[in-house]
Amino acid sequence: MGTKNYICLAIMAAIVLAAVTLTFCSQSLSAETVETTEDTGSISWILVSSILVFTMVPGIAFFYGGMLRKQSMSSMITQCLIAMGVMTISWIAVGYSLAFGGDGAIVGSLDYLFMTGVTENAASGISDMEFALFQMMFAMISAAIVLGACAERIRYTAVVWFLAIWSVVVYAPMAHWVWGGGWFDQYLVVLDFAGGTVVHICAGITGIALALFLGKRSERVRNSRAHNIPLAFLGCALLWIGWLGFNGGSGLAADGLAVRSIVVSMMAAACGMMAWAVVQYMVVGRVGVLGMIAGSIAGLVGITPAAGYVGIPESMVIGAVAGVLCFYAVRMTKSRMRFDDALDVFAVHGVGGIWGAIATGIFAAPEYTGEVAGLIYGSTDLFIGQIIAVIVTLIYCFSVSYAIIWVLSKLMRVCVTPEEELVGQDLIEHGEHAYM
Amino acid sequence: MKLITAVIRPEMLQFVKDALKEIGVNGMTITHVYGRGSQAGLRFTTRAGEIIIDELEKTKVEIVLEDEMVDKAVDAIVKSAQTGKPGDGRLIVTPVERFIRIRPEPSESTE
Repeated sequence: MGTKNYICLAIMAAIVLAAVTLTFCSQSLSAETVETTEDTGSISWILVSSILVFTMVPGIAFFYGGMLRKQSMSSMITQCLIAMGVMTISWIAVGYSLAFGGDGAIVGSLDYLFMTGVTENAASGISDMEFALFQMMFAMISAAIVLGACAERIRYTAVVWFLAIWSVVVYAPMAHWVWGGGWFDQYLVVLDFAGGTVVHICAGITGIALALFLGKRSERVRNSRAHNIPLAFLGCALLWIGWLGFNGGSGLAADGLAVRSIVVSMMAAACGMMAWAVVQYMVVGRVGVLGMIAGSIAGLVGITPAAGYVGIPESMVIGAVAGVLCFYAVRMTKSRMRFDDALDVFAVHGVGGIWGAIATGIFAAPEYTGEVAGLIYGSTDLFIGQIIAVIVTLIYCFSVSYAIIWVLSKLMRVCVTPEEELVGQDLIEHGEHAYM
Repeated sequence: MKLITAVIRPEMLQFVKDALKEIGVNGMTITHVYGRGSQAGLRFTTRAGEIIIDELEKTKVEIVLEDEMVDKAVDAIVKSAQTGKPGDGRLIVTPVERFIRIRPEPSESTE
């Protein structure tokens, strides 16, 4: 126990030292002032979007927590809090540099550790630092999404270490491949407007890797119902609101593209929710809050990679198909699969994300994308590129995430015992009941 | 007439209900309760020491039966609720002084 403490302290000291050193080194760089006419509209909008995306993280805590047992509510909140902490530090320390630090095929560079040389002023549009801030929120929300799959059995310490490693070896390279000029950009035609691949497919399949490794929860925990529907709805509302910044800010400017992205996002969310409701009504015979919120999230996940590249009619198709697909995916994973994806992270984010990526390959309109066109405009390059990107993302994120948790399992206990699970992690790990 | 009070594992409730249904017992009152047995709760070891959880979730099932049904019902509950590990619960059979239906008995015995 003692040595572990010292190791933790040593790591923290190293981080602080590195930060201090780099601050001194970088002073000469950031001292230069840039004289420009600033695009204050875009700067404001991306700041607001960043904050909107940030609200999705507490939103996820409510959304997931409300759908778990009451004995797991504090646990889910604590896990989301640690995701905020770990991902912020990791992104500013190394993540941003690895993702957007250069044109390497696999990762960027280590030039921008601790935002060294990343300027807060921009000649036009938004500055690098604002972009890094916006992207930081994406890293955070991706990590938080994963937590739904392994809920109620992964130990808290394991979550902390897993996210710390995952943010560097899985998330940062993924962001680099898709957005940072990595090999997706170099060798394939891939479009991902707001992170269908990087955020949703990646988080979904990481969730599967964890759920598979950790095994199923005990039957009683698995069969228990959502303990607080109003909280789940509050979480969904925060996610939906935040998503408008998530998609609307991804054009990185306050312009017509942002407006259209938000309109198509609303349309897809509405269609996803309605489609889910219709299918659920036909199959189950009734419709409820949990179904409707899952449907809206499915629609939003579906439109995420396509938001900037499609018009209104396509967005309706994308949203509606996402709702129906995810509904059947949830039913299938609940009944047939061997893994226990506690909150259907893969069925909604994974399946919805895969559909969104493929739909982008089908519907991307040349008038919005520049030169690249989707399948319905007679071009196959993008469609093939999207499918390869999806497959690579699935394989890479699954195998590396599985490897991380496997390694962690050799160093520590990663799973709670069945007895601990029944009592609930709120009490066992955190000593705090969510409710009196 | 006897009252059977069974305190069982919540996850075994469905099996108990199914087993009782098989011998024709449908009426019961189910309550979610907290309690502990002779081990006085569960002990867990954490980094900082030991924690004891002394209120565990259980489910209480109450059934009132004619005397000749009691042994069958007790058998069914014990068999269906058993895991063999500590925490399987308890079964109490108590005599019932009076048993009154709130809705009057139907005139023909069609229950």
